[in-house]
Amino acid sequence: MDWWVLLAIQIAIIVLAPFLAAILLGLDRIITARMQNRVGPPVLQVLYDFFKLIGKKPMLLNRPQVIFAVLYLMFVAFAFVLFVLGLDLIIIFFAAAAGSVFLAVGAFTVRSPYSHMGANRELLQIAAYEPVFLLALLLIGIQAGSFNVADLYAVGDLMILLPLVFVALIAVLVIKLQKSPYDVATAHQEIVSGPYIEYSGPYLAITKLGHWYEFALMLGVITLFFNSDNIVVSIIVKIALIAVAMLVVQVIDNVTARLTKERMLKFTATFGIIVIAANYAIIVVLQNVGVI
Amino acid sequence: MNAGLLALLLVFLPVLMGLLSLAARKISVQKAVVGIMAITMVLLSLALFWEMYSTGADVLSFDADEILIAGVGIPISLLIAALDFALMAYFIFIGVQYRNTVVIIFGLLQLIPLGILEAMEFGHTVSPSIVIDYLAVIMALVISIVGSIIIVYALKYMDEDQRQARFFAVMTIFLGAMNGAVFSNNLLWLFFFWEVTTLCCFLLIRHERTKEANESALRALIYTLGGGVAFAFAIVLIFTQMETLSLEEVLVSGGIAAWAIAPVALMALAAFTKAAQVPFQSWLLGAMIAPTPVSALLHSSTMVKLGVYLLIRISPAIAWETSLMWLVASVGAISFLGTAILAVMQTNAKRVLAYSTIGNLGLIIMCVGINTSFAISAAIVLLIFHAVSKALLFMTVGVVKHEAQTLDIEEMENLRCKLPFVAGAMLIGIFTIMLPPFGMFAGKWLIVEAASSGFPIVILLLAIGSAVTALYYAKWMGRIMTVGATCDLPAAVKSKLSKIYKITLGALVACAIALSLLIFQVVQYLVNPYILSVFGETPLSDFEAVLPLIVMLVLFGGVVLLTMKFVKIRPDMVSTSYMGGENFEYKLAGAYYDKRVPDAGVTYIFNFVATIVVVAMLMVALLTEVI
Amino acid sequence: MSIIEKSRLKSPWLLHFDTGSCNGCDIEILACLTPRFDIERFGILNKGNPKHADVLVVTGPVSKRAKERLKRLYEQMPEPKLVIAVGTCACTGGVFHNCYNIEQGIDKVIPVDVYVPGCAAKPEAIIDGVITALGKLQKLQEESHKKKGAK
Repeated sequence: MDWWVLLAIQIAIIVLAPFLAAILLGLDRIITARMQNRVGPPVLQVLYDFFKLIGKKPMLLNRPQVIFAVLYLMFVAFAFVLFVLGLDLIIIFFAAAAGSVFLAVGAFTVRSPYSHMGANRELLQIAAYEPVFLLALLLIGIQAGSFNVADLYAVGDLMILLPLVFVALIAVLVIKLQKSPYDVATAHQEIVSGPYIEYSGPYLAITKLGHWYEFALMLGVITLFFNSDNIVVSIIVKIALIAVAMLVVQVIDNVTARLTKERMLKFTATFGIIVIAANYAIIVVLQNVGVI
Repeated sequence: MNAGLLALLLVFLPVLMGLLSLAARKISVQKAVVGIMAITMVLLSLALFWEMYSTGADVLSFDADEILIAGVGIPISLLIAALDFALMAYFIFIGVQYRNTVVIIFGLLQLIPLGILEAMEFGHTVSPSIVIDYLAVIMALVISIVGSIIIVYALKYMDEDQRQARFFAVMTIFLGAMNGAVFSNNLLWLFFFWEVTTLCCFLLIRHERTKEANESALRALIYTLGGGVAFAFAIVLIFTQMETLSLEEVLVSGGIAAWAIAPVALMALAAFTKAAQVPFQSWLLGAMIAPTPVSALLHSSTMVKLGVYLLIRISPAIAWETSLMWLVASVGAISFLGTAILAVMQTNAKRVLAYSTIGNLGLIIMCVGINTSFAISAAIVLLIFHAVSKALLFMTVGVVKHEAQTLDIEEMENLRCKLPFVAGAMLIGIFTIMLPPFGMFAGKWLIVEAASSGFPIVILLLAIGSAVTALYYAKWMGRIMTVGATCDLPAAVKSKLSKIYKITLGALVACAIALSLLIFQVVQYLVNPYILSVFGETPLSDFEAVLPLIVMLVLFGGVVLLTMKFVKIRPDMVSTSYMGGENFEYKLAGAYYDKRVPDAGVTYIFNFVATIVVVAMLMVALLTEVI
Repeated sequence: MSIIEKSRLKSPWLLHFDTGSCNGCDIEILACLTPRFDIERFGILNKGNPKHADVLVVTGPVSKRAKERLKRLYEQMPEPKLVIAVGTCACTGGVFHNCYNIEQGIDKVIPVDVYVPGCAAKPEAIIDGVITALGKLQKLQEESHKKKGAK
């Protein structure tokens, strides 16, 4: 492939990915509705919401609030750009993590009780899922022998060797997508969307866009799990993986009630880490036996 | 200028100036002396780096057993030996004075082996006695620049103090002793300077002479003297087994001598006490009682840094024994995780910073344990950036204490309004310590890469620890940024900041940002030469690896500046915060992470585990010889 | 019609506020949100937060205590915004008309776009009210376009 074709594809992915993620979230809403025996919104509903927000009159409490929202978007988007360019997975992780921290700090800048509670809970969420996420990425990197995303796409057998890491990533996805039972930060019935509460109109749209990039990044990590020389097979299986992950997240969302923040910490600190450790142990054993 | 002379000046100038300021009666004279010393130190350390760089050598060695001054030869070795004994005697005297048996015992335990050693090695010379390599230069730069800035800051901070003269004398001597320890190749010299820093630390913590200050100082003395005992025995072992007192020769010996592991383990133990690693952390937490410049100095450029310096220095020897690497890394990892969890529950700014220091040093020690060229590079990068960021944070906390009379993070709300400059500096301090793209983060990124080369448990502790670290710093950051209704009123009180504060804080902010921007150059010109001389390879030599970091920094600055410029706030855009339609002033719930888990319980658990690891480390050292 | 204006009509987020209602209308509003009526079809979401809301759905005759809160919530909503008065009380004060502690309806405090009468208003009527309000918004948008065109 010529370098400019590649560049064009990369730019297209970077620009379009958040909107694809938004459409996926729209699908998510429809499927949730169907699970509840409803018709549900149109597929493009999430995009409608987004453009409506852009068109609203900007209202804010102070300037740092906006600065941190933009920082959140930029860092998460930057992490995604690095991912598309095929660079170091660890840097990508840290850039995205910094983005999440900026979101929490942005929520702290205003003097609002809900916002502060949301920010504190957001930080707890970060503390809960980040170790699991980092360990999952590290294990992927160790298994593949490289942390460069570009190299990871050349490795075929991650899903076979790291099925439990995939399970752990679904747990991370539940928290990242603000789904029950661990949507403690945005908890709309209790603290009216937590860290986002004081953002309105275009500034809320900025955080939405950031959220989509975060989501796209997670999906990107999921696509790492299967690669094949046959590009059609590769793409089909990748989409299937995403579908499976999303479906599991939705079922979990619909059959559970929100749990407390302590339960969230306990869950990720035990289940998430044990699952990854088990996978690591299995690999080590298999390697020693000589199977792989 | 000759590098050896520069090194000697870096050691003796602060000592002389300290004594001079002590002798001067007038406060203005003392201040002038200290100020001149600070500027000279910065220049001297830069000159030393330039000297190293221009000669192109990795290592410069000098003999300084005897120096000729005006035709009179001064036997430095003898002088140091004599002073060393005086120092031990003084420690024992302190023990008697405070009726503390442990101090007396530790004093004697150092005095006796040292006396035997001096008797045995009389006439034994170490050549070269001064070795300047890039690690030493880095340390000298950190000590002289960051240390000097802190001392200048203290000129204002200690303005109304009664015992200023002694305070500044001890502070400057501290810097001299640190430089001395860094340049020494003779183990006895290193030991002497090591013990001088212990003494300085004791005197500085005791500064206010209250009951609490005395107790904290004694505790610090006990812990660090205990480490000194380990060090003394290590030296005796080395001399009896290898018949040398040159650190350089010990490190190149390859660990083939009988009883080679034991002294390494003992030195690591000494370093742990100095670097206040779990389970020895309590002295550093007690040291909070000292005036803030002291904390800044202890936590950033001196004292604890000497511990990690020693570990980095002996890192080739740690690699002799794989289990030793494991155990050292474990102590670091346990300290990192334990202090992170403890720090979340604190609201006292100094205490949070103290825990974070221990945690960050734990990271460095983890790197030493992992012991690849990547990891040691990370350790040195972390060391540099931690010194700058931590000094900056302590200094800003000190200013807040003076101007706003609080050390409680929960009360730092509105700081952005009241003290915008200080709040800005504090934010940059926190950014540089925890967030990408800044330097401290770069170190963390390196260590994750290094750790992935096969230390699963260390990775696990690291992963949890870094997430928790982000939590408590973000909480703090948020609290500074929170602005109440009073901020936007024209009557909002803005304190006037002293010029000295502005200059010193500004200098450190500039350092932090410059270092972050020039991280690649820092690695290339300071870290890599040392790594090359030890490992024969440099893992970080292409610019591409750090390019994303630089881009992130530009992105960060760009976003902040552009948003500041282009987000115009018209009065009709300003809204109020949502409280279900209500509108009143309220106190924000600060202690969200309340102490459901008691401090003492967490400390106990981590102390327990860490003690087992440390004991295991000593056992390993013994067993490798016995078996 | 621009994409933003089109989106506005497809994504009305509600804020529900009770200014002293007997809770009859509130229960009907909550009934609206149940799967049976599925208002998400129209992109309607119930947001308990004025900063995110486009449509303020108010019940009750506005007691004197609730007046300030209602005003504040209305002010915290970013433009463009719509107000729907749900129930007879919200429209005129209803059975509380001329009570000493009552403001006699929402429109005495904030401008109202659509009145949904009924005691209590049926969920179908409430949904119709929201759609009517959106129709009003569409009309306004078209008018402003025409004005711009005329200029």
